[in-house]
Amino acid sequence: MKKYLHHFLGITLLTLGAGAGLADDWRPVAAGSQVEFIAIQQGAKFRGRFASFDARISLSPESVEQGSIEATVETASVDSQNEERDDYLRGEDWFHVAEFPQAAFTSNAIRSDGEDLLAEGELTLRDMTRPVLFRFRFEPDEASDQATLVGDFEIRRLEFGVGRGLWENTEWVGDEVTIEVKLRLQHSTGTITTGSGVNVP
Amino acid sequence: MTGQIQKFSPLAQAFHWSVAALILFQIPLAYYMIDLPLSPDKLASYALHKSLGLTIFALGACRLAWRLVRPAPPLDESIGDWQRRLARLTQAVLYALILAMPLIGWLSSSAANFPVSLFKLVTLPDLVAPDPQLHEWLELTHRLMAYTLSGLVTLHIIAAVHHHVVRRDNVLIAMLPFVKSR
Ligand code: HEM
Repeated sequence: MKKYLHHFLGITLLTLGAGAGLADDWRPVAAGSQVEFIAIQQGAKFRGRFASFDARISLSPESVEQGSIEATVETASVDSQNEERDDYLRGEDWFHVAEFPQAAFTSNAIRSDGEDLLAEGELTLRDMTRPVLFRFRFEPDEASDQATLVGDFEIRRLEFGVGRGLWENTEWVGDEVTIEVKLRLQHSTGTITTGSGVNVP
Repeated sequence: MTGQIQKFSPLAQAFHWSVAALILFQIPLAYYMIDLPLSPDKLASYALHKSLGLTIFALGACRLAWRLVRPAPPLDESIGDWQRRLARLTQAVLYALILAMPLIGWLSSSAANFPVSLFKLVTLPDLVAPDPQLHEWLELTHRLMAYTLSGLVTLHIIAAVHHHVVRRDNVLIAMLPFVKSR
């Protein structure tokens, strides 16, 4: 009986541990974090970024399968280093930020392929949700309670209805877009804080 | 004056007339494209403008290099001093603009974070980091150079026709292929 009780307690603690306190929760900090995109215009690549975003990450290197990632990007914070183009991107044919102020990524499963971590998840842009595969690396600092997460994924903008009407033509604005994410993460113990996220100047 | 008058070499003529044709296409294309509403067509026109502009740069540079190897034939003796000076100045500024405008255009595109591709074959490197203020200055410079170029091209054409039709000398003929000197 004693033996069984022991066993029972063990399992309960394990379950509790995985479900709550022991999972490592992380939030991004502005310094060292960036969300960039690489798109193709007139046959050549250019780089832009989103200044405002947020993420809730639950991840520990020892048990990545139990981790999860939720991230949001404020679409109006698009910054392609060109005012005119940014205004256009915020408009109805592109991100339509008035209607769809956020883009969101949610992971369904995280695994390791031996080299990188892979998060299978879903990206919602405008009103379209499509599966994406986020390939990344996650490295907690040795000495501080911070970590770095670096990764990227590729999408086809037209699958999300980004670029409508004439812009469905991909000759001058390419379909493929790469999103590159670099997050500097702060370990957040206890309850996940709600906040306004990160705004990189 | 008889058939002794030297002409520009065939290579010099080829460079001259290809640059001339491209510029006479390039300027109207530019004024057409800037008024288009933003659309794939507009981007296509800009892309063509950039590719043609870079081609003009390359041909212009070849033309100038070849001119250093094979100087222009001497001008007709009947041509006065001030006209020689004016012609030389016009031509020098034309060369300067032909070489400078594409570079300013390329710089301006880089400053605007617009990539530059040569006929979609090669992507050129960005010359400067994105910088909206710099972009405005470069765009203005490109525009002022365009006015100057348009004026000088007009002057250059009027002068050539004047030599040919009014003065009936060999100035235009020296640059014409297949035509013998008077
Ligand atoms: C000899 C070669 C070139 C000529 C004669 C030329 C001529 C012109 C002219 C007449 C304009 C209209 C000016 C205006 O805005 O009022 C223009 C605009 C422009 N050019 Fe060029 N150009 C040349 C090369 C280039 C190159 C190589 C590039 C880029 C790589 C370039 C980029 C632009 C851009 C982006 C504009 C639009 C500026 C605006 O929107 O106001 N140009 N060019």
